[in-house]
Amino acid sequence: MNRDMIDSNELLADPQNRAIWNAARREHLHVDVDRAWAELSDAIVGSPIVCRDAGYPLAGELRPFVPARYKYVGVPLAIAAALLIGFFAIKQIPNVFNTTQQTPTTKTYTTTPAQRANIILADGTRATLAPSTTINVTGRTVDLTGEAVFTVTQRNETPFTVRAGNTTTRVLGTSFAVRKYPDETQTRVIVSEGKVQVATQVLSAGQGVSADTTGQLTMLSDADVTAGLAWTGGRLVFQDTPIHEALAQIGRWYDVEFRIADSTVLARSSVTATLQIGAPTEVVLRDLAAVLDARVIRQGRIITLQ
Amino acid sequence: MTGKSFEELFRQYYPALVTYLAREFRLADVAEDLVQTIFTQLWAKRDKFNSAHLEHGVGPYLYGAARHAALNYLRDNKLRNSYDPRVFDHSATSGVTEDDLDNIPSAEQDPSVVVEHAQLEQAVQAAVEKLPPRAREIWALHRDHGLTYPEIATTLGISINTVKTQMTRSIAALRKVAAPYLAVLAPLVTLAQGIRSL
Repeated sequence: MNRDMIDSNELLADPQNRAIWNAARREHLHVDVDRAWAELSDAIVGSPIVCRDAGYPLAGELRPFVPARYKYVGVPLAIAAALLIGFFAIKQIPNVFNTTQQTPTTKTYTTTPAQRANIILADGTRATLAPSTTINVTGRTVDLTGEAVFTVTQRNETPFTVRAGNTTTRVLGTSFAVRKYPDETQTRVIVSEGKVQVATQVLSAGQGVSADTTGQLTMLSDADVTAGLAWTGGRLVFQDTPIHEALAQIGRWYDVEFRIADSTVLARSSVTATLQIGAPTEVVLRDLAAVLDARVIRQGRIITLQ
Repeated sequence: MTGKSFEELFRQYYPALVTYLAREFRLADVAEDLVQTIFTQLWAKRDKFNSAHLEHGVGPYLYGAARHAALNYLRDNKLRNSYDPRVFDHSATSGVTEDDLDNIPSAEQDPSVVVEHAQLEQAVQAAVEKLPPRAREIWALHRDHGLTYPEIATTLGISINTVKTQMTRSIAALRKVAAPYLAVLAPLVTLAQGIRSL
């Protein structure tokens, strides 16, 4: 005897009542729970979007609802977070109360320096944003400034499109990273699963490409591909990377700014190093000093290398 | 409440709560939005949420929240015509009178036709729809949503005895409607019972 009959034992002892009971069985309405969950996660991920530690769940096992792991980092970030919450509240309320409205609206998600965020988009696609990144999402089209990894949910024949710089990347269902910060001339696309099309070039898993401002494509080396996806595993990997690019990247992840005299030998060197994203800034700077054989002077968030 | 359990809770209860609001409050158009809002609010106050709120289980809490949202929505939009809120006045001893039950139209009868289960189902389900709102709601919570009598009592803020009384009355009303079909079915049912008891 199943649970829902327990109280009705008395009533249901009668065979006619039992026949009525059985005949009255109605299934729940069919609703799209996956879509509903994607919408809900989309709506509430806006609040605890700020995170900094390496313990944060990473791409492939994204779970946006692990509040204990979020860490607010001081007053400035708390203010930024409050602004974000306000922003998302305004953006989300019309959606919460009118999901039947199908016209595509644009949603914006932003991370500040040293923040990462996991977002589930309305179509179920997961996006992991690196620091100092903004994405504008309209339906299945994303405009990106910064760097993000997308794990795309396949939906009919509608491709998922990411525009960054002058480069457009189209996919059907896959996982890939796109990077184009404002201070960079190259747009980089790296594929971790499936296939994507960058301009006219089709990339398979494990391949990456870099596009310059004229749209010229250059395949990335295996080492660059591995290094380019390392941040989703909690590490920053530099493989013979020009020092200015490496320092800009480290600056975004640790919210610091590097100063380096252009005339020095140091300014023309390159960096090969692996840094832990969750590590304290002091430890990172010490490692960096050792790798570059340089003196590191820290004044607040300004770091001078000599 | 961890992220995982929140998602599980959502997936388990979302279709049921949407069904509850769509069917029992005739709010099919906004049911999904209302349920989304309930879970958004639940998420927002997850830190303050503790076992005290769940004394009677999470079911009554969620159904209670859903029905609260529905009644507020109906009040704010003055949708009295689609749902009579008076039957939810807790000060009233009972929303159902014998008259209401007697007024349920009887299903069409045609004894010469071989009655199939489909017809019985149709007749019973149509009759459930015509139960007075509170009786219908109690019936649905028990039959379709699997809430126990104590859980229903908590959800609606009424006594277990009221739940029991309403169920007894509802089934009596349904029996009346289903009688023509049951007359044909009865021997089969009895036979089936007999076979099972062997």
